[in-house]
Amino acid sequence: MEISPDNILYGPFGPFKLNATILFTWLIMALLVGVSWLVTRRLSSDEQLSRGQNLLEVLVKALHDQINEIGQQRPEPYLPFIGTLFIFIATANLLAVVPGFRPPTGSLSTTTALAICVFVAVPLYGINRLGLRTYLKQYTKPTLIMLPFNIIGELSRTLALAVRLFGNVMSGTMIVAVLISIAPLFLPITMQLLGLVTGLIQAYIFAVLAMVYIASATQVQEEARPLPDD
Amino acid sequence: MLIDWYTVIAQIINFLILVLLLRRFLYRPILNAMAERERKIADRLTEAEAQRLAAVAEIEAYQQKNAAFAVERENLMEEAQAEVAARRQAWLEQARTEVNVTRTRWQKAVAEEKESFLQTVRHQTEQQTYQIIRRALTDLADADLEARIVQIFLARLDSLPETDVQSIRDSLQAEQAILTLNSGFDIDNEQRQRLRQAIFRLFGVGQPMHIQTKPDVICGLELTAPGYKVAWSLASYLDNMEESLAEVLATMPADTAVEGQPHG
Repeated sequence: MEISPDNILYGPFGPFKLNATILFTWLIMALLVGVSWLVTRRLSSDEQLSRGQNLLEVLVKALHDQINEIGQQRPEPYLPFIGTLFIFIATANLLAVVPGFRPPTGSLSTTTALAICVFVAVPLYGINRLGLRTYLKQYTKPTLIMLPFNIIGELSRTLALAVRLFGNVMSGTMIVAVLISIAPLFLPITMQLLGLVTGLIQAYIFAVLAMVYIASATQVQEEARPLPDD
Repeated sequence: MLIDWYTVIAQIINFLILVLLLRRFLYRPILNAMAERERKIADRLTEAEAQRLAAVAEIEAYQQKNAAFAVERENLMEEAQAEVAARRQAWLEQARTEVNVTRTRWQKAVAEEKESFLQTVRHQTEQQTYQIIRRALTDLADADLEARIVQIFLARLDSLPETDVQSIRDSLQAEQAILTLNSGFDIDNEQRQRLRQAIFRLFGVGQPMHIQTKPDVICGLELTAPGYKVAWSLASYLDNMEESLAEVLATMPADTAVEGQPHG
């Protein structure tokens, strides 16, 4: 049995190879963008709105409010990044119940890719908000001695982010596989339902942690700044 | 090796593309729609507030108008009442004046009628009194009375002032006129003779004299010459009495008019 969907190959296309991770990622992308396009091409700003729009509004509003709550900032700049993290991971994990579907989040490559994205996004958002000098100064806080530890911490939390998601999703799949060999009837279904819950929780945790990192990068310096006159 | 770096790079690219696509197709439209709805709701609330304020203002204006209308109505009512009172007063005055005029006219007519009536009464009284006395005296006349009358007449002739006698005498001579003696009764010859003698002695010889009986000269004698007249008769007394009676009666209408004036 394959641990990672990276190893399931659907044949090379020239210099590119197509494995299950990329394929199912594309499927998820197509699904999300397709649904979004179908719903948002007929948006209503009145009281009367379609069920799809209502659902998406609830989702976007919830993300919006969560980001606002965690970041204590205007959520608009972070919404596309954090929201897409949550929606992508949650969709991938939820679709794990579909027979034959290999969730891309079960691949350490995918989770690494997402972690790298967060790893890059945190300084980008920080620099964008605070400026390069101010952002870099953070690594020398409280003293210059802390600079290596800050850098190590930055790297290790990115690694932890990637491994946590991978481990949870992969373990879910693994447990089902193991349980099928022991008790092939009812128990795997229960575990799969449990997997839905852990999948959603993992998506939430990943998005919230990403937001927390970004918020810490954009907020720390603000505390040192003179208080603006209200 | 669990990490396939080829896949990692591909997933990074996939994820970034997904972020862009979802931002284009999901977040931006949905957020815009929500903001638009919020704006519409806010607009509607503002509009509702404006309408409420307008309604309040309209209510206020209406109430003010109502109050003004009430005041105006009150004023008009007062004006109308004052006008009615004034007109009533004017009509009363007019009616009073008309009544006064009518009453005055009526009083005047009554007074005139009374005056005319009294005039008639006066005249009738005079006439009747005169007639009665005249008839009584005529009935009473007899020879003795006539003799007495002639005697009184002769005495009067004797007592004539000399200037008068002279004047009569002069006029008789100048105009050759005839003396006329009018008598209220038939004079017998003896009396005639006495009279002729007396007149002859007084006014001169040769004067013809005409003696005639005239009922108008009541119980008396009357000697007329051109421009002169010497007489004694009851008629003169009666004339005096008539004048006195007329004077007495003339004072009566005023008294009776005062007493008879209507009160009101």
